[in-house]
Amino acid sequence: MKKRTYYMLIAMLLISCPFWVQLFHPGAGTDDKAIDLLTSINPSYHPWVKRIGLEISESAEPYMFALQITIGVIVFAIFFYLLKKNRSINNQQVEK
Amino acid sequence: MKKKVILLSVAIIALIAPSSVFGMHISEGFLSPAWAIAWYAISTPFVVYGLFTIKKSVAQDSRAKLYMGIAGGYVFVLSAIKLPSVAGSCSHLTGTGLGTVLFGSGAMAIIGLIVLLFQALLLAHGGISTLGANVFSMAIAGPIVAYAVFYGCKKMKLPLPVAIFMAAFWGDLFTYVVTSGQLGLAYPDSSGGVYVSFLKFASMFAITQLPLAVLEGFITVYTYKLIQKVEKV
Repeated sequence: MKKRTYYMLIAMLLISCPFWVQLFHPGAGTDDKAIDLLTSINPSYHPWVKRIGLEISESAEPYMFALQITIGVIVFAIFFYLLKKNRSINNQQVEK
Repeated sequence: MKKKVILLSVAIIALIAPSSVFGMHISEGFLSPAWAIAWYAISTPFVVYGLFTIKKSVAQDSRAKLYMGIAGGYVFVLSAIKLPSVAGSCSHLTGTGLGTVLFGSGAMAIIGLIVLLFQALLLAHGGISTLGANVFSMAIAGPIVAYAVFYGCKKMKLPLPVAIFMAAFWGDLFTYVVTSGQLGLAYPDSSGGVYVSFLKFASMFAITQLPLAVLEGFITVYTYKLIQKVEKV
C-alpha cells in the first residue's frame, strides 16, 4: 500500500505540471535567461552562425516537443515489450 | 502495471504539450568558433569510445540492445518535458541517469548525441555549432558523474534505490554545472573573470535545477523498478 501511495504521488506531481505553469507564469526558460545574462556580460555579442535545420515558429515549438515525447514513449514502450517477451521466452526454455 | 504506464504517459503528453518549452542547452551561435571546435574535439573521443562499448556489450548480452532502446526512449521523453520550477523559472530533465545505471556511462554519449542532434535539427533547441559542448555536458560529463556516484553508493552498500536516486540526481545537476562552466569559459566576466561568470550562470541554473534533479531522481528509481519487475517475470 505504501508503495502505491509513492507512485501515486509521483503521478500527481507530473500530471499537475500545467497547473504550476499557470500559477507561476514562467516568463523565460533558463535558456533565455542565460542569453540575457550573456548580453549583460558582453553587450556586443551576437550569434555568429545562422541556425541550420528546421525553422519553427514559436507557436509550433511545443508541438514539436510533444512529437519528441511521443517518439520517446513509443521507443520506450516497444523495447520494454521486447524485454518482457524476451524474458518470458527465456523462462519457458528454463521450464522445459 | 502496463496500463498504468500507458495512462501516465498519455496524461503527461496531453497536459504538458500545449505549454511552451524551454531548456538548458547552449543555443546556436552562442559559443565562439574556437570554443565550438574545442568542445567538438573534447567530445569526439568519448563518442568513439561509446561506439566501442555499445558494440562490445551487444556482442556479450543480447538484452543490451533492449536496454539501450529503453534508455534511449527515456532520454527522449525526459529531455523534452519542460517543468516549471521555483521563482517562475523552468527547465527540463536530462534522463541520462537510467541508461548510466543500466549499462554504464560510455554508451550514453551516443544516445545523448542522437537526442541532441534531433533537438538541434528539428526543434530549434541547442544547435549544430554548440553540439559538441552540449553533448559533453549532457551525454558525457553528467553520465560519468552519475556512474561514479552510483558506484560509490554501491561500494558503501547503500540500498539500490538510494544509489539510483543519487546517481540520477547528481548526473542531472552536474550537467548544469558543466554548462555553466562552458558559458563561464566562453564569456568571462569583465571584472571577475571566468570564475565570477561561472558562478553567475551556476547560481542561475541551480535554483531552477535543484528541485528538478530531485524529481529526476524519483522518476529514474521508479522506471528502474519497472524494468526490474519485468526482469523477474
